Amino acid sequence: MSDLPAAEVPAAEAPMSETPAAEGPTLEEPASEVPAPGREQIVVLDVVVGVSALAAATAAGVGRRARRVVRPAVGLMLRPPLVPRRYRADTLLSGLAQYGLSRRPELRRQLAARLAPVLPEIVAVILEPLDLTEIVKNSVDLDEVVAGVDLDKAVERLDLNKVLVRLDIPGLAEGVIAEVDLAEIIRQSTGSVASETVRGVRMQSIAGDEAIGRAVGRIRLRLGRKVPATEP
Amino acid sequence: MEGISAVPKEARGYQGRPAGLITRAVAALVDTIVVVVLLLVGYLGVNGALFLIDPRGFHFTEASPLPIVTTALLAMFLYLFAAWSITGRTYGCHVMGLRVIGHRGRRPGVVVALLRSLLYCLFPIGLVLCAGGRNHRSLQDFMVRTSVIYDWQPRQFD
Repeated sequence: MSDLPAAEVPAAEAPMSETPAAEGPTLEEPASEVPAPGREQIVVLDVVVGVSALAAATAAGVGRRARRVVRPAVGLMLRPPLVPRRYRADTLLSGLAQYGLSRRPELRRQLAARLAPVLPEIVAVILEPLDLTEIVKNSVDLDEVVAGVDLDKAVERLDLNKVLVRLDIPGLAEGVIAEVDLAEIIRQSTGSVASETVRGVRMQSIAGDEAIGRAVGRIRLRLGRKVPATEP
Repeated sequence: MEGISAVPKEARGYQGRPAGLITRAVAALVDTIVVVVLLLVGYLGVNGALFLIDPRGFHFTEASPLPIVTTALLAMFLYLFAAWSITGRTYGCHVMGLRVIGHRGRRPGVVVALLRSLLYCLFPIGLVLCAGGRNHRSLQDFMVRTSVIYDWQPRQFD
């Protein structure tokens, strides 16, 4: 037993009744008398895991020692000398293994058929507390997934008429025509010298109107300032 | 995003705003030329008819200034009245991109057009008053409550 592997036993932790004080204990209840339930469960779980690991390591060590001792006897039992091959135990066992391998797909199908009614419920119970969206976001490379999608085929399956119905086609057309200034293009391509002249005269007249309007405004302003000065 | 408009981009900012003295004066000048041409055509037409009736005894009719001025004013009155009451625009307004509107923003009614035409024929200098002011109104506009705005849209009726 001295050859047993030294399992790593975690150092003894502080008794569970002594939990570290929470920040700023309130006047109502000191933090040391109310341990967080979540932390206690984790400590218990750690203890169980530690005991199990220790037991498994011990069992593995014992198994290795026992195998060394038992192996010759087992070999003799499976392949006894002077016994024809077809009557040996290892031949029988090999045959049974082959039979099991051939039956495995059928057994898998039967098991799946039996589990099918209850499997969705089991999966739902397991998945309910999980946030699958966060798990997928954090664990799945969505860019790589999308890169593998054949978008051409996806577009082929689209009904473009339904997409077009959702668009405001007249509004879009108006916007394009306004941006392109189609009216100006038509004017330039079909306009005559006379129409260009008229357009020029109109714009010059508008400029003249504004100039006169400003001049009259200034004169009025000056007249308005002069009036108080002339009053007694 | 602005909609489609037949008005050139540089003029869209003025569309619907009151027109000033220069534009209205040029429009008035064009209208005067139109009336003069109409009178000349009428004069030639009358003399042409007289020639056809009596080629041997034909000579161009002569008139004293008073009938000529009266005929011209009458022609101007009828021309302005017809144009403003039917479309709100004379030919001069068409050329300069103007439109006459009543106090409700629509084409002036028959009575308003008639009064306006009469006032312009008798007192044309009242146009000068539109040089100043925010709404650029002439004396006639004040009296019959009309306005003249920039309108480059080619439509005929509102």
